[in-house]
Amino acid sequence: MPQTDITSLKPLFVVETPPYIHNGVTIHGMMRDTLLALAPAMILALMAHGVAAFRVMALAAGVSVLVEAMCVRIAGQKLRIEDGTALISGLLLAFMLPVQAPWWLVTVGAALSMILGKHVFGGLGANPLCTPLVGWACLSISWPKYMNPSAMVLNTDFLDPLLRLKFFGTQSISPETYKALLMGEQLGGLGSVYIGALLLGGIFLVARRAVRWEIPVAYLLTVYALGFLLWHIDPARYIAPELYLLTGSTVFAAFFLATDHPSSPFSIWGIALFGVLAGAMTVLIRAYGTHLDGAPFAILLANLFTPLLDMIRPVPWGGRK
Amino acid sequence: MKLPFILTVPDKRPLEELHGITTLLVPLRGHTPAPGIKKRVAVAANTLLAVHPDMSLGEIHAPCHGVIKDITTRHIEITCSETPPEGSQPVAPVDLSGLDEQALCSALKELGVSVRPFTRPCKTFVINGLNPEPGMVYAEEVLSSHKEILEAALALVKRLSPATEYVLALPAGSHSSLDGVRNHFVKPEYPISLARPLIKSLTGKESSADITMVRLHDLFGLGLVASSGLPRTRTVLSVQGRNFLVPVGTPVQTLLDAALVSVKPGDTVVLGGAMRGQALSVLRRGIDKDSEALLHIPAKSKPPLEDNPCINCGACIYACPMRLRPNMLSRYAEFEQYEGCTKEYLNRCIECGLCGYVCPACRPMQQYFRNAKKALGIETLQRRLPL
Ligand code: SF4
Ligand code: SF4
Repeated sequence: MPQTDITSLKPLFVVETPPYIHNGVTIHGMMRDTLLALAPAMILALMAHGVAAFRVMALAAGVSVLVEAMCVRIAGQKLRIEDGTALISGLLLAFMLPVQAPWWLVTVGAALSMILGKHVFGGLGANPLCTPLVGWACLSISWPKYMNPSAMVLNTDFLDPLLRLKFFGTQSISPETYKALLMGEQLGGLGSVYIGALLLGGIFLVARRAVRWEIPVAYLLTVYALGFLLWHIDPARYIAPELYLLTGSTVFAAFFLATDHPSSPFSIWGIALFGVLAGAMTVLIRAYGTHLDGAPFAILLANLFTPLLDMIRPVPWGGRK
Repeated sequence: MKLPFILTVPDKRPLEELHGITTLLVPLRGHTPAPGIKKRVAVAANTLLAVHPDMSLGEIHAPCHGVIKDITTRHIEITCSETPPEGSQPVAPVDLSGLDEQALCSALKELGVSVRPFTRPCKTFVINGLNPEPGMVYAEEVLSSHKEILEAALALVKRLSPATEYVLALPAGSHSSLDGVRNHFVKPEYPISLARPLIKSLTGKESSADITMVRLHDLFGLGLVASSGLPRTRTVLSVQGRNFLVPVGTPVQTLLDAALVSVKPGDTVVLGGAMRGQALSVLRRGIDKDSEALLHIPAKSKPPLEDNPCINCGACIYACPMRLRPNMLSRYAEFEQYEGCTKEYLNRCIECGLCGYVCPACRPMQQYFRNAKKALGIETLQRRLPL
């Protein structure tokens, strides 16, 4: 082969494979949109808890980014910190932690999320479970006391609606308090309690095509429908359907956790079933399980079905052969 | 309608001709120079330059008067002149009437036409009257202002093709027509202009048996020969939204200058459409008979391709007109597990580029598919896709 003189190729053009146009939705853009979608809830959290909330969010995000950098280096992969996936994972985890979570809890959670929830499986795109939920699950099982928002906050006027509904009867929360619940005046995760703000952010995410609308819609509809069914059967035993949405991390999970791309199915039917499955499990865990908030575990369980749901495939053009 | 995929333009864009071209780089595609064609030989326009043993590939002729400056494996460079240079032999038109099918085929090959698409066994012959890809805008103009050329071509096609039915696919609302050809209207949105989607819209069936589809571009090329009896030495192409009728071999640089495009380092110059074209590394290259567009893509107008992993978002699955799973296909291809590609129906992929258009990970989807197709011996766009 004769050596090509590089100077003879000047000016240098970019030679790529087609297509030469792109719709503009990139991983980086999706993460930026997610950050924007989380912003209202973040601001509300900072307004309510100040430095305490900032501490947890910054720590979780920082540790996630650092651990990701380390894992990528060890695995000899390309460093992709700038795509923002680690930062967002960290923030999503922080949203589910109590504001008063001790620093070591946040650190361990973020590190476990990144290592067990992402990098042991091969990094970006390869996680079978929603990354921040892995850390959350480890913490919830290992240190349930520290993960319990009402145990962590002693003097507060806010109520922990999950605890109340479970142990003080289904009528212990009246519709008058709904607006307060929507505004986040309840105990729960640092960011996941701002139901209204998250709903707004979620709609923004869907509009920006950063997540597929089918997942939150299928999920929330299922939660409401099943909740309605149970409540219809025995209103004394089961809570009103809207309370599944107004309390706990259901709305947060619908838009920010269930929609995690790698751990959710990719075909339309797969996605719809995934949403239904996760929704049904959320309600069942809350109605019958020992765990107060159903959503996170429900999503994790649904994640396990993803490979199965991905076996549903469209018939290719011209039929199967 | 998705904006970048609309295949029609509202206004008329006439075919502009270029004057004062000084150099042509007539591309060779495995052709060998004809006897007597050497450096410094003077040729008149339409002189035979190079031949190919394959019956289905047309020969190559001089698009202008001039002197041969250089011959490489890729092209023959001609320095053009206004009048026939001394020592050149003028070329007379060929009379194509009265030839039987066999003789007509060889005559057309000798006139530089690739005849295969016109002779393919079929019942229905479809003329694709749509601009094939975003970035091409010549179809309306050719159909409305150069109808006689198309009809001259059609007269030849009717002698060559066994088809019993002729169909012209048009964008909805078009007033164009061809004699003896049934119109078929479609919503002009990419990828309906590609063979398989178009045939589905025509027959309702997902099979291209008994159907031949040719591009308007190919029919127009045949028409140029049919109406003059002279070799195929000119071609029509769109450059940045304008249409040109220029000699084959016109350097890309010349066309970009004519279209007032200045290319800077880091930009991309594409020969062909925005979805399936080929990016050029140098501008010293002549356009070929089947070049349909020339596009300038400024740097940073799209996110660059990266070797990112698939994040499983499913966007490509929604986009794929062949209902494939490009995510799985590209992953198998990426890791060279080509049996997996076969199981995912790689042979159905028409390289429409839509999966790459939507992929948020900006994966080089076409690159993966082409590698896999090459490994599996499936024809790719570089070697013309079958129907
Ligand atoms: S290029 Fe992509 S979208 Fe187009 S047919 Fe092939 S796999 Fe499908
Ligand atoms: S669009 Fe890209 S990232 Fe999304 S599933 Fe397809 S290949 Fe993967």
